[in-house]
Amino acid sequence: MVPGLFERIAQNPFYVLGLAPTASRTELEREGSKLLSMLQLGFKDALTYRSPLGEHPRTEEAVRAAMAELRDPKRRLVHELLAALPASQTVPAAPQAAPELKWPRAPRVFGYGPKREG
Amino acid sequence: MVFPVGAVVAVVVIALRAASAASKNKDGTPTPAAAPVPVSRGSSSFAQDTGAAGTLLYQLLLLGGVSAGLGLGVALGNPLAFGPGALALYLLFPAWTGRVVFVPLGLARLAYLSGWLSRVAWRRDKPGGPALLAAWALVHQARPSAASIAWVEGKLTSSKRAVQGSGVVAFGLLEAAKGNLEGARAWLQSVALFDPRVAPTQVRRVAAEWLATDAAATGDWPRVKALTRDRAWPPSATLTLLGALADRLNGEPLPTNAGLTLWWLFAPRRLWSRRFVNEVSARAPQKRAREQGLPSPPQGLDGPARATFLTLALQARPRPTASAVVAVARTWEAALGDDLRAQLHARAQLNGGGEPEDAMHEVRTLLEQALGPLLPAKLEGVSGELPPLVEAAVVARKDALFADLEERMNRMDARKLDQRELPAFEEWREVMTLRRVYLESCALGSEGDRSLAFSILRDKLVNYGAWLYNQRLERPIANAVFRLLEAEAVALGDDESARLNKKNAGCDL
Amino acid sequence: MSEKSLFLGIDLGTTNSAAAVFDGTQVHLVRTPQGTTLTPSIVRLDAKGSVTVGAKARRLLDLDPDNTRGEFKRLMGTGQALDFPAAKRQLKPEQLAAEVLKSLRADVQEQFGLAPARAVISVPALFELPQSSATSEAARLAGFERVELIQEPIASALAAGWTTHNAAGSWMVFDLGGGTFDASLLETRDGLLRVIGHDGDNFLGGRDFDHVLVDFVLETLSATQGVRLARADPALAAGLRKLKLAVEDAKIELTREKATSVLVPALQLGAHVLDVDVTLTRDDVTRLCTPLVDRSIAVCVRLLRHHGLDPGQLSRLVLVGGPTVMPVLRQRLQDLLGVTLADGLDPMTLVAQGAALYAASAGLDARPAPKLEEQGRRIWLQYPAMTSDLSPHVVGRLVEEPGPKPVSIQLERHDGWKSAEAPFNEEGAFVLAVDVEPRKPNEFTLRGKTADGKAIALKPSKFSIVQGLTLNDPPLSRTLGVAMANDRVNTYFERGAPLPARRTFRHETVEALVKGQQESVLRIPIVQGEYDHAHLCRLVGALEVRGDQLDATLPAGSQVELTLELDRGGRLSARAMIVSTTQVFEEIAQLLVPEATPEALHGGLQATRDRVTQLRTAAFRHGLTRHIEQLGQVEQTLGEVERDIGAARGGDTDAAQKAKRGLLEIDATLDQLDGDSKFPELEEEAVSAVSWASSLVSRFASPQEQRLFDEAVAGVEKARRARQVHELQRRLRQVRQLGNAAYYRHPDAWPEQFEHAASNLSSMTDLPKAEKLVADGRAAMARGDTTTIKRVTEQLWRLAPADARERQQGHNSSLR
Repeated sequence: MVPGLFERIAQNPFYVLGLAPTASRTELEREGSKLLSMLQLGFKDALTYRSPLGEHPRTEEAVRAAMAELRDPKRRLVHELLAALPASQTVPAAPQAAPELKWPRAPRVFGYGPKREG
Repeated sequence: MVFPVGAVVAVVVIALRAASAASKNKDGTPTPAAAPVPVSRGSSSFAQDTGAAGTLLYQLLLLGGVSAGLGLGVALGNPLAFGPGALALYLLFPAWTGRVVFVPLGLARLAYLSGWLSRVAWRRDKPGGPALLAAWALVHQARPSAASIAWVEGKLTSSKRAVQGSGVVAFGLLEAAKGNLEGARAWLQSVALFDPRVAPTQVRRVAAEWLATDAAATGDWPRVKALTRDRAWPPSATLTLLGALADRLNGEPLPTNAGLTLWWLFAPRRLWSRRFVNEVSARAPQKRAREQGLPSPPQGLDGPARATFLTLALQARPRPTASAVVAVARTWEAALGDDLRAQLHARAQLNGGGEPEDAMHEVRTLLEQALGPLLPAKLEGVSGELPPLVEAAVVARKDALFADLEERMNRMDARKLDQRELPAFEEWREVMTLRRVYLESCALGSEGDRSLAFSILRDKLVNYGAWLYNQRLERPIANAVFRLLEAEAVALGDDESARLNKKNAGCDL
Repeated sequence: MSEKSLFLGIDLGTTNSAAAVFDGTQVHLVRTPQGTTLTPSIVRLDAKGSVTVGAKARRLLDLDPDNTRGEFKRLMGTGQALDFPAAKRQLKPEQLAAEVLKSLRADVQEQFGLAPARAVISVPALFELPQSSATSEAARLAGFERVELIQEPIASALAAGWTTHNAAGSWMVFDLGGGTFDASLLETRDGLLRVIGHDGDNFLGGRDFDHVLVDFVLETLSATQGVRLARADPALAAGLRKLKLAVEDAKIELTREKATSVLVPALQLGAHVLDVDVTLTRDDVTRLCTPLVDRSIAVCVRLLRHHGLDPGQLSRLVLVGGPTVMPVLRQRLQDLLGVTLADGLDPMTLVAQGAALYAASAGLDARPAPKLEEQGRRIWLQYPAMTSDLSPHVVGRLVEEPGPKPVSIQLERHDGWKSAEAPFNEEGAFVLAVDVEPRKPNEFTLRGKTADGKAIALKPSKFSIVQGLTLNDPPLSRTLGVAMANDRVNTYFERGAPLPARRTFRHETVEALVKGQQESVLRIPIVQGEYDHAHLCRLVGALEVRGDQLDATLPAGSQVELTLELDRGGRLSARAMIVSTTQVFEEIAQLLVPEATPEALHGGLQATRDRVTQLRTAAFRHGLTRHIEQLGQVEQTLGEVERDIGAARGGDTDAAQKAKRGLLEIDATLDQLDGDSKFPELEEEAVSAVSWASSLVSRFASPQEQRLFDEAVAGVEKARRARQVHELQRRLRQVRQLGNAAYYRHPDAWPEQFEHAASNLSSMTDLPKAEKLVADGRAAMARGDTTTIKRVTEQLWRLAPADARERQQGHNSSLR
């Protein structure tokens, strides 16, 4: 179970650090160590980060791993490609299946269990 | 003075049980053979019907009890005097009483007792039959206690007797009681694989009706219809009504409202179902809404950003169509072009390293792995040539599925060789899972995939079945294994395997 | 007590250890009472149980070898205790290492006036978790409160980088130790150091240089004095030790002179007593040692090539380890790699210096007591103690307590520079950027202001930041992952991942785990190594869940959420949660370097030899010259492994471990060769299987079966064209299966199978029964009774021993 595309996007180091893929080495190090310090002191702002897939908890391990990933130019290039979509750009949720077709009472009606939830 | 009905009944029941036990164990029936190294052993037959004469005598005695009790009640005019008569009536129709009284009330232990006393529908399988009634009763409870679930499960799993259809249905209903509907579906569906001799109509009907009401609850009406059409399931008024409702909701013109009303009148529990049937009748027949396309990406997004947006939107769909996946793949093919290569090259220079080609390759691999599972089993409605990403995704998915099938089969085989036995229900669960992976592999649908998938099971699964039959004495589930292998071999034209499995499936249960 | 921060680094070496202290400006070497910078890693325990460490212990190595132990670093993590017969005690390697650390700690106290509580200790680049955790344990035993570990090449590069300005570009650290050789490629950019890659040779070290010279002396002696002497002869061991010392002295002398003599009067060599006087010239040494030097250079070139670099692109080469002082080695390196050697660096203490610098970047102040008691409003501060950044951030937060509060804060540098004035936010926190002066310590004072603009004292009032080359987090030395049932490794942390680290993955069980069954076990093997295949990696721990610990039966395919966690010292913890029941298991079954018995090693050696033979045959058949060449090298290494196994039989545990590693590395090479030559082999197999099955199917199969077979053959062709290995293998099995079905309809098939089964009579499980069956079969053959032959053959099959099982490769994992 190697992390797939969607995990890689959700955990993209650029999103974790809250930086654009064009950020310089120095910016990455500076932002990373600032975030680590903030996390150690429990700053509320530092506790989560955004990716196009939503809001995720930010941990010290994740920040450290993100910094290490981006120090390697080879790995960094892949992350740049996978962080092309800005973190602020969320994707609209899928439409739900037609609710009028559901008959949650069917099991109850025919004697096969209680009414189903939602 | 009251006639000692209870004592008489007890004596008769014990006598008949002894008689039935004595008639067991006949030897010399043919046994299944495995391939390529066949196995045979002396075997014993465990499930013989009690003599018809015994049953008749038992029933006559109870009938006498009922009339005597009722007579006594009328004669004395005392409501309490009806007690023995009611008891005799219960003993005459215990399973029926259990079904209509204890099961709906959710009284698991009484339902179990009723099943245990029954000599009709559940006679071939104990504790499966009684456990089925008990589990069914549990399903009626809004929040069944873990203790009662464990009690029924204990009855099922501690039994030394071979697992049969009713046990499997009971296990499935217990899963439903635990709230694991996905698991319950698999278990109940699997009872269709059993020989009718070890999964009688009453048992199958419970499974089919549960499955159909479950599909109706989730709004999956095409599945409801498919269930009512499937010959594996016995007909029932409930299924017929659900099938008729499904037709209407699936957009068929028939049945008419009158027809719908007629099926409703035949079905049980009319008061409960009236409102829904009326609602469906009132609704004009309509085609199902077509799947909506993917949302269009916001202005200003292009290249990989646009492709990423569409990929994430695709992933959010419950069941994306093949053409939607192909469209997203095409966006990526366009994005992963020379422009991007040049762009990445410039970035790599700035970063002090990195290979644009490697990065693009890695992203391609990630996409192949991500798109594979999103593709429907069959690629329908796709025009033009498939983009290379989808081609690769199809190959990767097939490789993964076949590798999974091989790995599972090999593990099962190794376990058999090591004689590492699982409890019978877990053995059956392994067969179910193997079958699911097999069907997924076959569903890929390209020429020759089904026969290739079958070749993986062909010999090892027969051997496993023979082991279940000969060593584990789990004949009904072994038989189900042979039956499904036989059906596949016949469908594929593998005469050798069809012959062997037909022979094996014909062995005594 | 020192007011300045002090950072302690320790190089805990196999033969020598060293310590260095960094005070923010300069690195000072720690000296022993004898005035040297090296402490021999040798421990002696006398009959009274008193401990002697270092140079004093080394002097006793010859006189009392049973109670004096060295080279115990190689045994770290094996759990093997060493005997001290005089004291009647057994000490584990980490206890011995702790004695060395204690001695170094005492030297620091002597020189700097404080008993250090925190330190950084260096470990070899390829240490695995059990070895690392034994090192941490040694430090704890020696009285350190907290330690962090750093890999030796990184430490060396850090030390070399600290001393030079503008140290940008690629570097190589060439570390030739007593028994092993490690090359590390590093890069510095923007003041940050990064490890690009490692390579090495586990069978090359300073000892090998001594061996060739000793061999030369022995040969000369054989020629001049007419006695046959071999280094492998155990009877010569004591005499050879003396001779080796003399050779070492001569070697050192030859770094200055052109020629010298190896002189040992009346040397007892087994049965012979010889006056050794052999002339050794610098040319001799060059001639004898060049092949060994070239071997090490080949490793360097391989490492560079692997990362797409030419030797010319190296900006510096840092030499580490005693043997690197040899002129022959230095000259050859310059000639072949064309790179200037970094000057002015002491190869013996560079690692310790780097470790001290690293202690600064990790903020690991050695001073034990808290800083001076100050007055003022308490504040939590976070800042990098050492940074490459010229404008790092300082983050702070007020401690919740009553009293006047500051509303804003400003930071002032020792030379008067002031930061912006930052307000405290509603959380009572602030973030400020500060400018630091390059390559020196920068002291900052905190200036707080209350709402009415008055100054308010803050505690701490001062802190300092050192600017220079840094390495932010200790990197993991080897990739760590979990072995899967299909022998793949699910990587949790890649080599170089920053510590501490934590990661969680969801897995599925491959087999049912039955509640209440003790023998039903879910096994989660944790492995380290750089290979995709688990059997090539080393098992460093395992988490086991038994059926009798479970709340409920877990069917195959149940989800297990596994979290692995490594702390900064590289200590591993694992936690498995059964998703369906939320039951948690945390106990790691083992964390030891697995034992390697000589018997098992010998078996492995045999198997590897067989594999080499097979691969060589295949390589010759397909004309793969590169493979033949590589197999030649493998055979050479196998010879060395065999020698180590010999030493292992004599009780040398270190040699056993070395042999085990060697075999694993060879296995990896062979796997790769195997993979390269797989496809042509497979294609050949496919062609022959199809032609074999075709004739049988066409003669004996039904039309339906023929159609099925044609479909399978089409599949073979398709897979061949697309070069899909797995698909081709599957199709091949299908073709064989269909061919087999047809085969058994051949009239001769059963007699043939009967003959084959009968020929294996001796291995049958029930011999008398088998003999009777064979007799029955023979009679039936004479009668031409095919039905009986078939029945008899089938019964014979059942008497054959159980199917040979595939090797349990994936460390017996229960996960996927």
